[in-house]
Amino acid sequence: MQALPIRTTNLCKTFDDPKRGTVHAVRDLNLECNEGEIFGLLGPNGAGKTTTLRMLSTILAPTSGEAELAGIRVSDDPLEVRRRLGFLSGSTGLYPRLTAREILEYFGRLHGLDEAQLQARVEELLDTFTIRPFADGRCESLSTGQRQRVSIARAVLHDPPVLILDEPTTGLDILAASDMIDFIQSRKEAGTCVLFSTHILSEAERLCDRIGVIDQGRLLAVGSLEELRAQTGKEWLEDVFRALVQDAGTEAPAATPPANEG
Amino acid sequence: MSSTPTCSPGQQTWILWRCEIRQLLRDRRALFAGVLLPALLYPLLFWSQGKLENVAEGIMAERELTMILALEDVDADLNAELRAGLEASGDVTLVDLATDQDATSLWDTEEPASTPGDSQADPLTLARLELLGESHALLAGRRSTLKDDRHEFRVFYNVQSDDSREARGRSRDVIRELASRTRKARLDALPGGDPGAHLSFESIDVASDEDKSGAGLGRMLPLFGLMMLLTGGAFAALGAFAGEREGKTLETLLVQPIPARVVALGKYGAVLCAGLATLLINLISLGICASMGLVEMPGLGEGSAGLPPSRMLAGFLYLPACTLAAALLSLFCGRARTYREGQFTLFPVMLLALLPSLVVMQPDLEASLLLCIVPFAGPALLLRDGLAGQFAILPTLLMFASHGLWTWLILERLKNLLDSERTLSSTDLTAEAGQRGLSASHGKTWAFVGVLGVYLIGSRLQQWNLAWGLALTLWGLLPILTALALRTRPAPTRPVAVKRFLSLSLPSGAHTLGAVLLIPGLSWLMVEIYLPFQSRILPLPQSVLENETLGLALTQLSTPVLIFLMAISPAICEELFFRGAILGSLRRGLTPLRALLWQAMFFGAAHASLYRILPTAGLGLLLGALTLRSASLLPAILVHAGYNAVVVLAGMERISTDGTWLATFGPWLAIPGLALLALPAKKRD
Repeated sequence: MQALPIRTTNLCKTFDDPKRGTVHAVRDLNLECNEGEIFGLLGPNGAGKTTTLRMLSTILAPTSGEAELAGIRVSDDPLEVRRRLGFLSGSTGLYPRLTAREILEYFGRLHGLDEAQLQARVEELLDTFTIRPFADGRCESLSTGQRQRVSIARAVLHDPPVLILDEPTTGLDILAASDMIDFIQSRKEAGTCVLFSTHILSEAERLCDRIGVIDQGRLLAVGSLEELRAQTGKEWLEDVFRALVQDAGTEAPAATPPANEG
Repeated sequence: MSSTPTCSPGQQTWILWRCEIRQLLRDRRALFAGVLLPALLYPLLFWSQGKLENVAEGIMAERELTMILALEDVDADLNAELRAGLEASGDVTLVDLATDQDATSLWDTEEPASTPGDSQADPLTLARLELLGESHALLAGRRSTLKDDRHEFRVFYNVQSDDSREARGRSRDVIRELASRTRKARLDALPGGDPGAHLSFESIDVASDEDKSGAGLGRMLPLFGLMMLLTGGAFAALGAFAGEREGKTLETLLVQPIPARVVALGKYGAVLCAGLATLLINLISLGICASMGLVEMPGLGEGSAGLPPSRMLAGFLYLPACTLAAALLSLFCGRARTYREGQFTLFPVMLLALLPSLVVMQPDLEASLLLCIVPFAGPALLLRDGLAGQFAILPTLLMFASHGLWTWLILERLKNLLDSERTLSSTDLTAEAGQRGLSASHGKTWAFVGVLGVYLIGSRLQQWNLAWGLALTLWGLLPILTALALRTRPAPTRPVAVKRFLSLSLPSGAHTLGAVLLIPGLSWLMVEIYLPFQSRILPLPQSVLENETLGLALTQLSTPVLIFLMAISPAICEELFFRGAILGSLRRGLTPLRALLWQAMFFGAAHASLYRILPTAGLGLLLGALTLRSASLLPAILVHAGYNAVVVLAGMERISTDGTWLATFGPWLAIPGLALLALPAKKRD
């Protein structure tokens, strides 16, 4: 059987913060995403979404538990994981003094594409994301939407089987955000597994095959929108979300008393 | 892509390095600092310095002067020689003292009664003033009353006029020249010649020109070279590490299939190259300056033999220091979360890195095996010795090995840092505290830079010319530092406008008046109470009191110039820097009391004198408190100007404080002044 694109087992992450003491950013997170699935991680700010995605994309090391990407353990062979991974966050920057084409070439080379392969792929991406008109101007002069398209092209340059997007629409205007949503949907057709985090409910509602609700580092519920509605008995995702968070709030102290201490 | 071709870490490092260099070459700031500045700055600096010196002298030498001569009692030959000398000294009209004038006042030995304020009424001074008339100086000479073949001269001039001082200077020079000629002639005419010539002494250096210039170069090259490397590399490091982190591109780079070591190495390579390139361009620029005679530099200057290329190979001995310096820059920029934070951390690091190189100034310090492993000190010593033609194999090997190890350790640390979580997480939790810390360290850093700048640049300028140097320090150096401090101030979550940051708004009338009322009392306290007290417990050494150049340069200035230079200028420029920029930063990072104490300490230190540190620090405390109280710089500027004016003029005995209204009413005026200051401010900052 082929390995799942994304799987985490009891994933934990704690930080030592000088002010707040030990912070449990992610607690015992169990998550599975399937091929060709769009999975949305939904939660308020500071819920642990970014930390989870960063552990999956090898930027952060888990405190305990395991994260696997395409069957490879993140802690075992991070480089191999990164080869299979496209990562993009809403705050991703571009090198202001390089052109879009140079940036694509740069990351292509870092991925080890040979020159012929690289040029073909870059040309293809310039057309796919209609970057060509501004491909040779420095990135500092691009608009937010244009930058976003360059960033997306950079993330899928090596045609990764897994895409991890950290709040991809944050800071984008309406047009750029809808471009992004179209892009995510198009990936599903390509059979890519997309895991993305958001705190915008409508996005999750529209895109996701399954939603995971996360708050205070804990995964409160996982399922399709219908399953979550059935679970909570609420109609709107907003209410579903609030119900889940409130339930967790009343349960949490009893369930894991020591976890909150600094 | 399952069949993704991989590329070796070496290739990846090369790709990364190339990308960094490409970005650097497109960075106008870095290019300006690394290439353009040294290429233009040195020639311009040395050239203009030479020019300035000549210009000041040239202007005065071209002045048309009128001098009255009262020389009828002087030996005819001497009289003729004197006139010839004066005419040769520049454009001068010589007029003989009219015979109907009464010249007896010229040789009156009694000093005019020195009661400042009513000197005009003194008959002797009045008589001399009348004799001088419209002319610039009066040169009187007569045979000495002690010995017939001797002469004595007196020149009367007016200190308030530039021309008059120039006339005095020219007559003094001519007479000195004549005197030394006469002395030599008389000594030679003695039987057996000049008795002083019986024992003659001459020193001849037998070292080769190469060794001499090499040794000279070795004393300055280590420090200079490291400084250049650090400045050039700092830009590259800030861009490659801190800038990348701030631009949110580092996260992307870290999810590429490249080991952190490759990222660290590629970027480090770019930093090293940028530093070395800057160093090279600086050296070439300096070399060209030296060969054109713009600056005298040992080993590169015109007159000396210069250094043979083989000696220049010793430069390679300094490579380990360069690699280590670049690694340090990379490490500290790698820690920084933002460009700004990087700038703040780099400054002290650069200073610390420069310190060990100072060992080359110690002439008898040998490059021992122990010293060779000390970071920066080892390469500096070996470079010094190498340039002077000495080379020791064992210390050199040890130095290379140890510095290689230091560099490697730092790069390992850098690698871990790039992988680390510190910078990616919990940044916003401590943003507030971090902001305050940044603000405080910004204030302290720039205060330190200010003090250092005054020590290093200001004192040089003032040695060159006290008045002009003071003016340049106040109106050139301090405003530049203020502007730089402003530009680099940490950007807070709620941005502070420049006007607010520097407290440039207008104070309430009550506070302004209150501050002005403090001036007489404060000046009285200083002149009548503190200074006499200090001179009892810590008297000024005689050498300071008799420092002719210092005293002369200032006493020659007219009162308005003196007030502008010593009271108004410091009040404006020092307040803008210390109470504006420095206190502005400190008070946003520290409690008010601490901010006040820190800036007062730096203000006292900036005056660079044991005898002035207490009163200036005290003054700084008061001025800082005034600024915080009134949320404006103006009261501090007024008090500073008034206080300085009174203290300086009283110090030169141009005004007297003893028994005048200042002493009688000054302390009393301070009471309503303080009361007015106690009134609430219009609006609080």
